[in-house]
Amino acid sequence: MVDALLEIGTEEIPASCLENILEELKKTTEKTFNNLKINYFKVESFGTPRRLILWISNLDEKQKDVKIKVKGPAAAIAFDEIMKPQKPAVKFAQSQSINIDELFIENTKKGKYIFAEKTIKGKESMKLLEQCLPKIIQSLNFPKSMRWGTGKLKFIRPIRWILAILGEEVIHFDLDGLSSNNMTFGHKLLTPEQIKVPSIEKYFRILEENFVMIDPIKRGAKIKEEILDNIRKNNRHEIINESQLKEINYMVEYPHAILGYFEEKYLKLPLQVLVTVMEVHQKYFPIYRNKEELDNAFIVVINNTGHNDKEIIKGNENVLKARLEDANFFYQEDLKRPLKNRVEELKNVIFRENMGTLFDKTQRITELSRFIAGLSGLDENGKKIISRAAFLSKADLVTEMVKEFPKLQGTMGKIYAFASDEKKEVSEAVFEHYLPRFAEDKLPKTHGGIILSIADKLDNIVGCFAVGLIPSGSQDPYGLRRQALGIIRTVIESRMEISLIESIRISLSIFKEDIFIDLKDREETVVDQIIIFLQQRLKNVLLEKGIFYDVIDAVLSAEKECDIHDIQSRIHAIQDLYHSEMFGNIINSAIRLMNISKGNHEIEINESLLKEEDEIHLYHQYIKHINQFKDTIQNGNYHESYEILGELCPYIHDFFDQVLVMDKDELVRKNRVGLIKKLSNLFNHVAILSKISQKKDDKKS
Amino acid sequence: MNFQTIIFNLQKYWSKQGCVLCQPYDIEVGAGTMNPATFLRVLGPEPWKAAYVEPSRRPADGRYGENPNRVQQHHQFQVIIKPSPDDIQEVYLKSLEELGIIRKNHDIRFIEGDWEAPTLGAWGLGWEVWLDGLEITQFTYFQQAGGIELNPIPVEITYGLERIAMVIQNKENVFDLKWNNQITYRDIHWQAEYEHSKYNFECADINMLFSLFNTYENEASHLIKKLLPIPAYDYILKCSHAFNMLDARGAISVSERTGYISRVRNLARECAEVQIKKREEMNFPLMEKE
Repeated sequence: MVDALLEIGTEEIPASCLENILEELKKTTEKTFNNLKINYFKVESFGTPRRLILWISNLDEKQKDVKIKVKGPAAAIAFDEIMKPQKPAVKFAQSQSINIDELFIENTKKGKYIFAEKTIKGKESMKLLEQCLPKIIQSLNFPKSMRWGTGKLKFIRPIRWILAILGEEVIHFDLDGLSSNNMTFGHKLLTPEQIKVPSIEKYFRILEENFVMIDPIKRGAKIKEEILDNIRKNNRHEIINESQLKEINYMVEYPHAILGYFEEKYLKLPLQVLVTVMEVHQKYFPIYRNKEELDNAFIVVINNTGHNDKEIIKGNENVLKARLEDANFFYQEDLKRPLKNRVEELKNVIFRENMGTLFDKTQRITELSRFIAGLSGLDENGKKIISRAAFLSKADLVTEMVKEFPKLQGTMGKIYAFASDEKKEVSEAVFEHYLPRFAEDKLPKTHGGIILSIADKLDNIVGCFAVGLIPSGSQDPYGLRRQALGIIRTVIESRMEISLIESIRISLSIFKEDIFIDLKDREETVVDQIIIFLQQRLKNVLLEKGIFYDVIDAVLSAEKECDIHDIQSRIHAIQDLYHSEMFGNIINSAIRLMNISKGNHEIEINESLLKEEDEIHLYHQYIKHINQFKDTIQNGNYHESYEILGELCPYIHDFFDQVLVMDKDELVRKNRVGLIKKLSNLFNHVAILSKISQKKDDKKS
Repeated sequence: MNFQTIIFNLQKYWSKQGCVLCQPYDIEVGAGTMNPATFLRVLGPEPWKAAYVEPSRRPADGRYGENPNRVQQHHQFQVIIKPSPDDIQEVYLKSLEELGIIRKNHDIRFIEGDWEAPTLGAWGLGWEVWLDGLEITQFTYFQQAGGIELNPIPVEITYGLERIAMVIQNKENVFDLKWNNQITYRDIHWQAEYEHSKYNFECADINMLFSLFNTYENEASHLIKKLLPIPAYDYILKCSHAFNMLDARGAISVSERTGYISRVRNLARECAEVQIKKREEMNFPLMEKE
């Protein structure tokens, strides 16, 4: 058993992609080797921006031998009556390179056939590696790939060398003109020369000696340790942005942290501005005095040793100073004008093609959020706050600061609104209306923020759907799925009563008036499409909460308005009753009623046509309970709704037992089916119960 | 090292690498990419190596000579090589050593930076090169130009000369740079910065620019039909500059903006197509120089 090693030497791979690539490299390799039926101890992947490394340890020298059975011609033609082999048998044995007496006969569905058994000798691991390594390399997926030079190969960045060895031997292959060998390169700045690697064992040592730390975990640990060391020496707050750490880790081969400073005066800038400049634009780690307060210091993690820290930190300090000077200039300029005066400028910024300017958008969400505020019963003061916040919500997009640092949208809006003497609630809503910005982000908390956030996202979704920009497959350029999910999470967590379907209709009508989108008669179709789109996201949220798929499906098939709280009440009622005997009876009744009345419409029941005793009983029970049932639905008391249906079940049971639905008299028959239809609609009102899987016991575990 | 020595050294270095030393183009351009020595030469199969300084105009970046880092005309040192050589990153790093930037003493990093020029229908993948936290170069493998897939792939290296000079000379204000040992950047460019800012933002005649845009566009279109891609391209550059001026002047409304960009892009695309056809008719003469 020997180890195999592959190092794909590249030009710098974008930091954001590396983790996924290394994971895929490992998984694809494991899958390939499992399929090839060759034993190994472990597949590991390591990487730096300049190399993707694959290490397969304790690989068997060859594949396992496999026995296979090959089917030949029918026995009847292969042999004659006295089992003497005929020409087809001879030919078949020849083609399989075995002796005729090794052939055997087996029964198959199509009769007797002759078979040959062969042993396929496992291939040597060297041969397999030569074949599969180039395939593994070419199978990797990237968000964006490119070509270089005269090559045809597409990869995330150019491949410049391939080291491939099995023990001490080179695994020879060719990838779009580049031959594998046993050469690698050291650190780009410190030891850029080509180095020969005599064995795998030596590979790891050679790279270490040449300032390349190939293991992301070890690199990350070194970065963290050095940062913490700096923080502790200076008695500062111990906090490290982990996602920043991960990004930086994938930008270096030999990390080293250096502490730098900037002038105290820049601390007057808003914290978020300083953090954005340092983290996003300069890839630094800001230093904190305490949880809420920054220090005038930062850490840069360089890709070099510590032999020239002074000069390197001086350079970084100069760059940061220029950046902060710019930011300060923008901030001072922006503060010269109250935020409200910027709104007019939004007329000059296009929102999205066919969806007007940002000013148009502001007006739409003002109207929409006022409407939603009305629906959810906000008072006049609340509505005023929302209107004001909506009016100001996009104004920061034309400030110098946000033009320079787009990530600060909303954040600057809040700061500038507050500085322009807007109410605190208004400023907060301006910030919160962008929430949640990503999957695990916080949700808006204030009424203003919640409603404006929903209005803004709904406007994006409705606008796109109206002009036909509907997400499909991996195509979702405007992040509509994320926004739909944001709406749903916000509605659930805020517990605010918001009718999404009404809001969608209003939003659509606003689009129609303002942007002159010609919907012709597609209006209701678009509404339906959006409801389904929202429902799909809701389904995922509910599944994550551990609710059974069939229950969700049953309720969503009955509820057509995406009223999230109502859907949740229905689900709770069903979950409460899920394992009860009564609910089992209700499901059975619901399914029978539905099956028999399928394709019929509800009709008025003619009492005089009710002939059979059990039919009359059932009808009376229906009349007795119907109003009470409607009340429970009205009040969202779905548990009670099912209690009522439970009472009806025995009568339905008797009815189906005793009464033949298909009466000879057409009028009697139609009347009877009409009754069944009424009951079916009743039973399937809260949820389409046929969607519920009755194998409940299986799922208890 | 003064500004002009930096240029000398880069020219000498890239000349040694086999590059043709071209000159700045005699029409206003926004970047070295727009010089026909790049845009028209990256098309088609012919090999090409060139290096040149390109004074690049960005009317909207003017700050009346008051901002230490921003100017409406800066200087790029442009290198374009097709097909991209295998050791091009190494060759680039060595070019920095010609400027006294010894790599082992610095933190030089290649940070993901995709590049796109919508008016030219061009895009590529590559990096911003950072020197101790400062972006000094854009390094791009072109994938498309004029909307056409490129093959072979050229590499473009664009040095920001002012920024590199500020590091080398340790200056915090671009106007304090030494152009040679007697004359500063301020001496040469300050008045132009002030006057052009004034012109770009306040004085440029909007109606004239609009009518120039249309005139240039017609001429470019006409020349493309006449199968004269090189003069046609000149008029596309003029169009592009007129558009930049109008944009800086705030004269183009939002709804019109995408329209103007796509008008220029369409011309660039047509021009690129004709150019490839013309070279093909000439049997791609540079092929044999390979």
